[in-house]
Amino acid sequence: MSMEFLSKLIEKLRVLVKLRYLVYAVLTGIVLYHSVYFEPLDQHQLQQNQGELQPAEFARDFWENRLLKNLERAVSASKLIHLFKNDMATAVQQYGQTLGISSTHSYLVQGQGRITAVNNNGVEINIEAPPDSPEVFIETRDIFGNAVRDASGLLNIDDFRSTMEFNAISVEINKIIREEVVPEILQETEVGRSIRFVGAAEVNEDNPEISPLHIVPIQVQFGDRQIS
Amino acid sequence: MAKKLSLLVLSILIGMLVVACGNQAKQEAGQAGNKGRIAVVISTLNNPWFVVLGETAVQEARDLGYQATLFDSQNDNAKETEHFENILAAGYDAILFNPTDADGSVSNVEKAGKAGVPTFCMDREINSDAAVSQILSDNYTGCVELGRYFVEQLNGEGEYVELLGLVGDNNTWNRSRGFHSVMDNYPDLKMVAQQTADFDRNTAMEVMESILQAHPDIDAVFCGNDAMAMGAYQALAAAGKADEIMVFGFDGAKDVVESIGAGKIVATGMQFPRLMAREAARMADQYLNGQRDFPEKIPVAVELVTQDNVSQYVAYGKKQ
Repeated sequence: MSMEFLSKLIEKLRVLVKLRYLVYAVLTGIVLYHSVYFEPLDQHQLQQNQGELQPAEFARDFWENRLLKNLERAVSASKLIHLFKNDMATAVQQYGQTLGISSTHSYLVQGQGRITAVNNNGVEINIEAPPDSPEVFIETRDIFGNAVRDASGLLNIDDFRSTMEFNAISVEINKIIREEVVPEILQETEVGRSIRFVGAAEVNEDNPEISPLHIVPIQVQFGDRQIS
Repeated sequence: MAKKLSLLVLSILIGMLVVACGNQAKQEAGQAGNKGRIAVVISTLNNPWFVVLGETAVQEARDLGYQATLFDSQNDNAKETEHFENILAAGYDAILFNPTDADGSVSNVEKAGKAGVPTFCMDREINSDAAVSQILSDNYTGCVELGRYFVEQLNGEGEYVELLGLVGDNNTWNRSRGFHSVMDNYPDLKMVAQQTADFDRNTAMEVMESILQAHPDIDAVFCGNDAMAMGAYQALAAAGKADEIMVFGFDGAKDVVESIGAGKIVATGMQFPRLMAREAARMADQYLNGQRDFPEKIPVAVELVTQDNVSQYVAYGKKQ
């Protein structure tokens, strides 16, 4: 075997080894190409959210097409306050909405009266009704929690995939109130002016705080002007 | 003859012993119940709150006439899956379940459902309707109340830190979102750090120590559970800042209720683990007796405990 033949053989082997690496590289490339793919983050999130609840849209539809069309069943504030003082059990049973196991109940309330005071947190109203002219306080700052969602009695927690979805509805309802109802109230409010209101109140039956009764506003009317 | 006699006496004695042991075993089985077997699977027994939840569920199941066994998932979804496999193989009749992960635990509950074993979730939620029912604290509303009190205590201004729980648990986010639904309306209240401490006391202490290095002048800390509140308080005490920085927790654990009474922790949200455990066991009993109509989710109200009303409360509940 000549030296020349040996060197040719070694050279051929080298080429074969290089080819083998090339084949490996191509195969790895094919595997990687089919294992990983890229897409814009917003597109990915959009795909993930498909089929999931969109809280803002849901809340808007709920507000316009269900809540505002079902306000007529709101109980009179003076009647409710009278019941709270004299017969809490009947108030809870007849007008309260309870989420799960709780001694706090939500009420859809309506009434009319005269504005007696205004401050940074809300509007104080003296209800023009017998027997003892009770007071209510329309919140304009602390629009938190689930008062409106629960008082409506229109939404069932079991219809939602998780409690987080159910709570997200409240966040969006409160946003509508904060952005659309409250500014109008603040603009129109004046001590001495008459006012009609529909709203939601939460009262703990074991420790009722009803002087005044705090109400989250849903619909308010000054004279002939309606805000909701 | 004497040898035969002693053998006879010995046999009688052994026989009596065997009968006695048999009676003892029967008595124990009777105490444990003979209506069937209930498994109680808890996310972690490394936190006293969950120990109360698990032990109450076991006791209630026994009181209802079942044999009950407690399983600890050690906050590990794989261990939880292993428990479910063993529980299904062993032929348990129902599972009272405190999941490790809202999404990761779904397949375990589905597997149990396919095997005809009903699951009832306690305190922690799964993102599925695979469980017969889920009895859960109303964490969101509880933290709205806690958030309102937080704002009141800080007069609507200052810098604060939030310690989050396990990121895979819905309770973590329901608490955080309830808190922020209030907080984010006060522009003068600034959150300077938000970090997870996994609902764990030691982790919270370490996280708080490191946050204090960067933000020594904070006014308050909101913790997603009481174990983290105690860890944060420990870090603040070690740094000599326990009197300057307010700590708020969530759970109603023994050490935090005592700390509120002693003026160390400002407030917590009281959950009711005993109530949830008992209700879950009762529902399992009703299910095994043929009832099928259960609400999918049952929120349980959370109550705000402050230094003003702490005398009305004990660890994990209200004074009777």
